Amino acid sequence: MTTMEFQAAVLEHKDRVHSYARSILRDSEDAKDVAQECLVRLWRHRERVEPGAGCKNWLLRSAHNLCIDRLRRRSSRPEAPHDDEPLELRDGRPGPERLAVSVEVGGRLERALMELDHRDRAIVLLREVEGLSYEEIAGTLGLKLGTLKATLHRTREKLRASLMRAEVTP
Amino acid sequence: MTCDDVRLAIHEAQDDAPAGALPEPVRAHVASCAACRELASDLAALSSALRAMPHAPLPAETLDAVWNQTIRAMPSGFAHGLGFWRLAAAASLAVAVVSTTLFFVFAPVAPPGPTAVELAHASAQAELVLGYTARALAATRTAAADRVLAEKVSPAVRGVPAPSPSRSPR
Repeated sequence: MTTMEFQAAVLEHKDRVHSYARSILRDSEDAKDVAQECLVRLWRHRERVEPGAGCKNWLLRSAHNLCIDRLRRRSSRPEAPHDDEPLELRDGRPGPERLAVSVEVGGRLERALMELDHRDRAIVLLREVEGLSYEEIAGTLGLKLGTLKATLHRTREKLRASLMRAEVTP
Repeated sequence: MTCDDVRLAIHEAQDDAPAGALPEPVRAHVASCAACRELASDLAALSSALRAMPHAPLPAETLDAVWNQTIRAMPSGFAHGLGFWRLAAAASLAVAVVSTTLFFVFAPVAPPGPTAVELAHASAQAELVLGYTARALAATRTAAADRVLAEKVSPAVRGVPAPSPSRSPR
């Protein structure tokens, strides 16, 4: 990966990495630190990372590992208050999918995601939001394919139930 | 087909990317079962909502920190250093190839020197020519002296007048 390709990759994936870290860690400051560290790591390993889809997967895997490190360190410390501020729907571009999701559903969905265990949340985000393959997710999270699919099915049902409790149709 | 079987089939259809069509027996069940129809509809909507979730933008100061630790931290001129050295090596190679070609095309070719046999032959021929010339000169000198003696000296010695000058026949 050249310097120019690195710059392009950072601009393309910076929000994705930050958003993933924020969803897993539920903390804005930690998410910024993880995103920064992840992108700097990409620079250090740029000779080994191919631009394109491989770069996106590499960044998400790296972000996930950094998040897990933070969560482990956190678990050895007293629980810090979570930053549960829901994501703002800042992307105002008109589009069939974006228009289909109301601000209310988006905010409630974000809260429903936050109620999940961090591993379940990671599975949903990597599969449904980022579109990684099952093999890539299984490799990143160290899960068997069967376990991964069963967890995803269960997590979808949890999210659906959470949204129904909030009387929001997904 | 039970509702549990259909539930699994609906999830498996959602697992495909893009979401696959339900098999015919499942569709027949869904058409007649309100609960399963609602599940299929909700999961499809949930998947759309998750895909449409916006990414949380990485703050500008964090992106700035990333640049500071990566491309801005490089020594001046190093950003394109690899390209520069590649260019320099290519230019050096091109100059070497062109110089070598021009040398062989335009350099004056020295004529090959005579061999020892040729020198000996030429020397013998030169000696032969010089011998002939020397003998010819000697014969000419003798003939001229004889003529002078016959025409000028002998009549005077003998007391007879010298004959009037006349053009000698060629």
